[in-house]
Amino acid sequence: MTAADSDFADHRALADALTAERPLHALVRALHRISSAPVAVIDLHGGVLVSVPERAEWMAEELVAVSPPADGPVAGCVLRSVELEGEPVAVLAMRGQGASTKLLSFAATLAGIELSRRHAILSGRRELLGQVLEDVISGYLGEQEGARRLLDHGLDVGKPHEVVVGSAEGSPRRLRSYPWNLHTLLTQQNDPHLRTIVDDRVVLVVPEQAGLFVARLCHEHLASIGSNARVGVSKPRAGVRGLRLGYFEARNALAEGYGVHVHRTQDLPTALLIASLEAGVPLRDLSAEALAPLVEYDRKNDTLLVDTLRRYLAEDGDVGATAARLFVHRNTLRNRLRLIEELTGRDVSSPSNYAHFWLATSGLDLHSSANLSSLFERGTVQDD
Amino acid sequence: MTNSVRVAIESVLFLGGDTDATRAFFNLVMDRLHEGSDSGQTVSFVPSVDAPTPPSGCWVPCFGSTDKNASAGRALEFGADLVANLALGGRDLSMYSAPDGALFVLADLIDPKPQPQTLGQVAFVDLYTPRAKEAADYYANALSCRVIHELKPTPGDYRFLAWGDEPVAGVVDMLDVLPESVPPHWIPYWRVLDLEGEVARLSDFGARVRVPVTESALGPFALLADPFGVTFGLQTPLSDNLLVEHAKSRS
Repeated sequence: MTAADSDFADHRALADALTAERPLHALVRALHRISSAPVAVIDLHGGVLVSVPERAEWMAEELVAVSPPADGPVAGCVLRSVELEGEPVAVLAMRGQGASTKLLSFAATLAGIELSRRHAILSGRRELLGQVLEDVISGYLGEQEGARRLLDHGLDVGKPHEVVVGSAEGSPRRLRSYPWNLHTLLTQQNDPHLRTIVDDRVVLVVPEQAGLFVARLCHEHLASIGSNARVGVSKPRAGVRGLRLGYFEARNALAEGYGVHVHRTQDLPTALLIASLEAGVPLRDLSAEALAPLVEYDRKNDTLLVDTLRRYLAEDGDVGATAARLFVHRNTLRNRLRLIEELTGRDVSSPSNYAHFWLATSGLDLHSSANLSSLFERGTVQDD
Repeated sequence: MTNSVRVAIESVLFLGGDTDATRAFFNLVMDRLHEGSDSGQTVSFVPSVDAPTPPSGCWVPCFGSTDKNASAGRALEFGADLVANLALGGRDLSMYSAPDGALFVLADLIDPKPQPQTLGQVAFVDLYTPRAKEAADYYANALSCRVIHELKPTPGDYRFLAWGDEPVAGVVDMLDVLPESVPPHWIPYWRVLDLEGEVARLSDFGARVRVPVTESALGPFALLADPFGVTFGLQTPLSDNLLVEHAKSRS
């Protein structure tokens, strides 16, 4: 047998592994047989997916510390990136130099193909679940029908669950294509917890007490695929109505910005704002109409009445604090507020007008529900 | 060696580390598995004692003895040091450091009857130590057990301790699978039905898979590290039966 024949036979043995009952295991076993070296597939968190021999010792964290892996050996292993839709998701590690790097690269490509195949199946299931969850969130499904449809996807809403919602700025396609847990792909079962994409945000429904654990991991995932990763966690809730409320609570907490945030009860105004946006209320148009006299006056006279109003509300109507933040004299501020009242016909100090102006200035800033963090950055919602 | 003092693995303690966070994680490990059954109290979390523990904490087995005083005397006689006396759930426990440095606890055995195979409970414990033979001999003497050796294929050079036909604990030659720099440590195994499903579920909570689902002479198992890096295992009820069968076949 020539070297070329042997090379062809090795490639053939690896390719044939994909037709086995457990293709990834068969692939790693085949590579181990060819190389006589320990071989493993390790996810980017350092979790071992498959290893032959099974009890081989892997410095897993060290091996996945750099992604994509370096060309040279790391901790005595040759590494190749395993990619799913062009995204590195794991490494194929072989101890020593038992096989050609070309063969290792070929095996890594096959591993990527197998993971992609399994991921496509799981993504299809998530799409179906996403439709059900959207119907639940928008209130199209009642308690009984919603519970039945969710049970079809393995969720018993009779038990309390926490909702985790996460987002990151970047490509929505990456959000869909990113495999959250490669171990799930290997089992060929559904996600261990309900996980889907709604409005370009990842939504997870997890058992009570699990929210923070899952949220931290979700944030880690999102931070690796986009910027400004943020995750919100709801309180535990039971029932279809509870799930809907949990979603809005998690969305509310998500609006606090980068990192992981748990819903706080006093964020009711923002929750209502989010709920109205989700329901398709044209809040920005209504806000623009309510503030039109001020916007128009600012445009014609190069003034800052809208900004002044915004800051006045953020400072809870404290004239001294608002003047200090705006670097203007208190009398200047009082003149501006008087002008705002004349132009809008509303007394800025009355509680009902205060709510009107808060909604109007908040709504004016919202091009979509994605930039709710501006509410917190402006301090219109108070921290604990 | 076996005598009339009966010893059994009764529970495990998690010592040190971030006990609240670890407790929260293992509540998730056990919660779903306990559905419809009596969960029992097989895991306790102890913030710290006057004994060296790794920063992320460690697991310590609690062996129940029908004659705790006699077992304690033997533990000390064969080279352990008493490191702490604890009161947990109204019970007095004594914690010892074995000659290899691994910690273990002795308590009065509450229920001398063999325990049912409840899902979600700790089914077994393995000691990973670089001095496997000495350690197995030590525990055989201290816990009045016999040593059963040479089961293959196993996770490394494997021995296990049995009281009569009842398995008590395993001892793994750590150097077969881990570097010498790793200190001796105990790994508890939770009893589950769907190994691969549980591995996927727990990795969703942040557990890291150290050893994926693996077949052995004692049944399939998997090893994971909790989100803080401390290793624990999963096995199925098949392992309970196989351990008893092996113990019986070596009587």
